[in-house]
Amino acid sequence: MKQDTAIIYVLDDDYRVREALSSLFLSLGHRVEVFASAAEYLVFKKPDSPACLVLDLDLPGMSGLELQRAIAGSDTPPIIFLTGHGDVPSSVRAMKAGAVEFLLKPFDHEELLRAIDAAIAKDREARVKRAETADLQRRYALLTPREREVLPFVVAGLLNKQTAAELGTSEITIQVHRGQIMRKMAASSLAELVKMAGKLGIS
Amino acid sequence: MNKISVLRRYGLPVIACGIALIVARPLRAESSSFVLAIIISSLFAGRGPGLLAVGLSAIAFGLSNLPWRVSPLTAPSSYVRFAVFLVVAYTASELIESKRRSEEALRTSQAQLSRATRFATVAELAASIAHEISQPLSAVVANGLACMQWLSAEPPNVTNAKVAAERIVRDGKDAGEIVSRIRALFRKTTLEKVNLNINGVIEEVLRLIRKEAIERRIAIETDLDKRLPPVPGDRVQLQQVIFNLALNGIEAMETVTDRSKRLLIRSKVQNADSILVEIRDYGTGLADSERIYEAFYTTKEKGMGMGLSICRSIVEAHGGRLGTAPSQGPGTTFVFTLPLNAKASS
Repeated sequence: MKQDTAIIYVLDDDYRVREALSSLFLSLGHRVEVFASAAEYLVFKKPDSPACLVLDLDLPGMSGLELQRAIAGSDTPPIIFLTGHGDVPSSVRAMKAGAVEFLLKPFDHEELLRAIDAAIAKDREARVKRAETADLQRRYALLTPREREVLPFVVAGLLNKQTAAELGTSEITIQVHRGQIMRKMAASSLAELVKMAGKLGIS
Repeated sequence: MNKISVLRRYGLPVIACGIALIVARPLRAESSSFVLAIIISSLFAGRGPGLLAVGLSAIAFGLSNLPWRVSPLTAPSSYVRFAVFLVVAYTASELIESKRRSEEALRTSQAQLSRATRFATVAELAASIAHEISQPLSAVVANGLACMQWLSAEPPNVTNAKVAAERIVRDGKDAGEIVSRIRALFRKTTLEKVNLNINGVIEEVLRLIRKEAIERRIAIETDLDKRLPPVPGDRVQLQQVIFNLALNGIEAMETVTDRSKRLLIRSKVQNADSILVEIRDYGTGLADSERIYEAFYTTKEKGMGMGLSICRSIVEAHGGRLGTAPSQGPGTTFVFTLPLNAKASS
């Protein structure tokens, strides 16, 4: 199995649904992990690959919506709700909290498969973005405190002379800092450096 | 309350005091005998007859104990005995009455509670049935897809396909079992028929829905025939029918703004063999007056489509008919009949 195979987490308290969904997703070439409760899902050590979570609303202990709230914010896989008791308020809450889809049992399989594909694509994208950001942050961490001070002036488009005046130092020094910044951040042009700074939230 | 039972209730203290009078003299235990008669009357017939027994006993006790012919002052102890007797008699009757009343209150509140839960269950039952069946059905569909997928793989994975197919059979059987469980559930509810005053049943239902009606600014009008003969029926089930029809009427008037919202409930004698109950609303009316009785057919956003089909089966189990009647003006009129003759129902 190749490294990039998507994992589908199935969380449902009914073993029939767990078995059926796991067989279906396996037959479609995905990896599947099933859980009967939110607690089981939370303690599971998730491998580093694109994923999505098919989540039931009514669960023993922590409910689906509670779990969604609990894992929100962390690098959590996109959620597809699949429930037998769908009411309007809970579907609204689920979608507002960022669920990809809210499906009712008995579900339409095409809708489910479409939602799965969309969720995995979304997670792949998010992972790429996360990796990029992580990489940038790693490179940014290489900068010395002084270089970090210089960086905002550079990306703001100030000339070396102007920056030197602002920071009370010589133009040559700034030039050296600037060269170091470009090298450490692996930026091939000023434009690229500006983009990186934008992603890091520096302006 | 009809005349016969009133007569029976008030006859009891007369008879009890009569017997007490007969046995009291030879036994020389007048006060105990009369108090016993009072206790029996209060216990079995209630407050009014209990007090009647107190009065009758007082007269009988006084006649046999007070020295009428001599001057009252010569025998004050007789009067003291009489006074003590009166106090004891009255206290006994009151104590029994208050105990009866608290028991009655408990019974009524319990009956109301069980009624309320049964009303709630009709809708909840339907929702839980839907959920129960959708679980195995979802599994069947997913397993079916997986089975096809395993078979169309290159090479086909027969082992996995077989497992999926076996699960389809198992979950399909599961769903079937749920259906037969539900059938059994409906079969088990046998009718507990007693002679019912249908006006009383209607009034009980009105008590339950009055608050709802006031909140929704709906006027409830009744036109109940006082000479209605009692009909054999199951009180709780007929309450459910009337409750459902009345609530449907109230809900049908939810969106009405251009006319007054009125719910009219009428009872009358239809002919020599049956009575008739009419529930008329001034709501939006019905588009299809036959399909509404089908199970799971609904025109309400949150409805399960079970109410009217259950109503109809209840009325038919009583040997009656439930249907709509043409109404003048807007709205819908539901009518059901109940036969007076118990044999008409099965």
